[in-house]
Amino acid sequence: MAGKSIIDVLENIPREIIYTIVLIAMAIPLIRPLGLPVPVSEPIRKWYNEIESLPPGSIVLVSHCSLGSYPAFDSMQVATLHHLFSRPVKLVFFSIDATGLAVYDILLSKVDPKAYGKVYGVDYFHIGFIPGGETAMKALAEDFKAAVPSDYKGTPISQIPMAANIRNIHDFTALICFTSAGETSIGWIRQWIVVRPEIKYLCCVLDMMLPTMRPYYEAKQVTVLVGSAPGGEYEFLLGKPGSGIKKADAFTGAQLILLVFIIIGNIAAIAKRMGKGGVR
Amino acid sequence: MADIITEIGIWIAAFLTIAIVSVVYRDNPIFKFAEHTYVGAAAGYSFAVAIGNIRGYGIDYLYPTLKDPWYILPLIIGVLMYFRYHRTLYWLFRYGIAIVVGTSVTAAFVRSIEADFLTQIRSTISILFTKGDAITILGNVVLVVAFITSLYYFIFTFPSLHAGSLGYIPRIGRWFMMIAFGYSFATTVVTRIDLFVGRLNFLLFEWLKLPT
Amino acid sequence: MSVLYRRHIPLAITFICGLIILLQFSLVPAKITEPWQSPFQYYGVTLTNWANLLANFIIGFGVVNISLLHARRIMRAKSWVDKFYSIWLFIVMAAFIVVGLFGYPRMWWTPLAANWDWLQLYVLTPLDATVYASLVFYMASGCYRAFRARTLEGAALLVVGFLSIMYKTPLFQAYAPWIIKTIDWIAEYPAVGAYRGIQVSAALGAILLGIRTLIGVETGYLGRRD
Repeated sequence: MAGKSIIDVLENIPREIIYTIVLIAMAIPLIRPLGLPVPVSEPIRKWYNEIESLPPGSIVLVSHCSLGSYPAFDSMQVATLHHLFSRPVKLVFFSIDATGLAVYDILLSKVDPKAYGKVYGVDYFHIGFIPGGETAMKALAEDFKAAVPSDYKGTPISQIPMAANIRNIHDFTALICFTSAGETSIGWIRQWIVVRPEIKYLCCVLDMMLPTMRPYYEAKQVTVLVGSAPGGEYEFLLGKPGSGIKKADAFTGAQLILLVFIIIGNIAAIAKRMGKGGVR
Repeated sequence: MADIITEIGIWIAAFLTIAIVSVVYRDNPIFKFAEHTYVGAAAGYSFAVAIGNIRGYGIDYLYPTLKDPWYILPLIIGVLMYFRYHRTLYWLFRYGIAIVVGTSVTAAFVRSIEADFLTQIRSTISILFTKGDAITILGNVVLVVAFITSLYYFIFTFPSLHAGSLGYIPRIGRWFMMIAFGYSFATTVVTRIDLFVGRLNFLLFEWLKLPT
Repeated sequence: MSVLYRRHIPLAITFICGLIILLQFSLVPAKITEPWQSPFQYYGVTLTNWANLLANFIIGFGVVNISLLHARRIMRAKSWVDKFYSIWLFIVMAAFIVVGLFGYPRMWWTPLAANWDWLQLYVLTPLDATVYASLVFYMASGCYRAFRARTLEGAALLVVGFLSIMYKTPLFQAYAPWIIKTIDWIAEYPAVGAYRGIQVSAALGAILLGIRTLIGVETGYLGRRD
């Protein structure tokens, strides 16, 4: 059998080897952290400052993510909840996705509101899942009590003390959205920000949606725009280390390996095009 | 007892996680099993949530206290929607879907005119009048050129508008789009890693209980 | 006559619902705080809530479609191995529906609440969360095989993509700040311009599609032709 040149080998690395190397590159930094510094970026600082500057007694609508994207939003959501519960603000949780209620249960198993002296119904409550996407957002903006006759457990809204003062969008100070769907993050702009531009809109999306959402941020329709990846920076800022800080090292490992593969692939392709067979 | 049930749950979750990931190596019966479990679980879960919502957002208006008798209408129309699967009475489904489509499409596109269209154009034009240092002014000019050329690329699609000297406009737009997609590719890479590292965290620290 | 109630009336309903929402947007003053202060606001709010309620019924279509598909597969399958997966799917679906009917918090009676939480946390969560997560491996393979400079435009995509991956890597964020400045500039100016152009074009298309749906030209949502 004629030997394969190094160029041929480099150009056709079996995918199983690629997958295994990437898996190891992600796992090792999680098990043995590299201890790299965690520089806090400007968007995370802005996110922190906006939540820190919410006036006492503000009502904040928190639209959390769906189950499919939960692993990405875990650190940002947990850190944000720690921050929100530590402030004298009231929270209304909402799920735009059917599986979102499972996310709410996971979040509350990681962040105990009682540790901050928060009581369900008085300081926070969950209105459940309303299907319909933008029509759900529109319904919440126009007449909160008609859109939400009961909370996610079926308790009538009239029996929830903090809901007594919520009539519509004008009673909310801020909207915090964690989503993997562009229709959701842009839908909030259409149905809430267009109606009431003064509302603070803190939008956390998957990093791959940042380029799509950036035009809205530059047009000042989004107050703060962050990706889900820098959750570790927020944990560092809050002094509440969690899964996000560990993720940073895994990103370094995986992305370095991907950069190496890109270089190898391009070198092999260029070499082949230039007709160099390499050493046999 | 609760600890044992939790531990069994963690092992089942780990098995299902590994089963789903196993497809990247090759299709196998373990993956097919997990895939069918996922489809069944997602469908069953959504159905249960939907029934709960129909109770919360519909039936509760009628029973046990009659808050709004008109809610009987959407409940009846909703049930009629399941005639979609009937051979001759399928058209009954159209009344419900007409309400949903009419409402949601209008709610979306009317606001879209302001949010996605006017505000974006206003922001792009106003950027030309903002003051700043040389890098900022250069960036603003680049932004406007990128916006106009990429808009031209998609809106003006007649072949004659892409030929001759006019053809330079969409070509420049394509270059800007390549730059944008290059940046976008990196963010996609980060997202995929972000999602998987979350699951890896579970496997290593909740299932295998490695020291943190 | 049958075309009237099969097709024309549903199209008219679509138009009327759209008109109510349009009137609500155009004629209701912005300072309205209660729906009863304006009839258009009241009808618009009611219609929106009805649409949200009907959307719940649409969720059930998924269960019906999957059931029909897999029932057909079970009947046509030749061996028990082929039938097994579809039967298993029905078992899991039935388990979630039964536990959900007696465990989902919004139900009338929830003796199976703990079981619902368990199924949600240990069966649905790992499956839903891992399906999208496993794409990282295809991404790695794509980086290696497809992310190669074959043309000048492809080279531009490659260079910007390579620098952007470095920008997103915490190691380079900490020790190579020039990458941050460069990619921040690219993300803030040319990328925003290009994406804005794409989104305005998409928005124009969506607006036109919405108008076409309202006036009855787009009828795909009505299902099969009569």
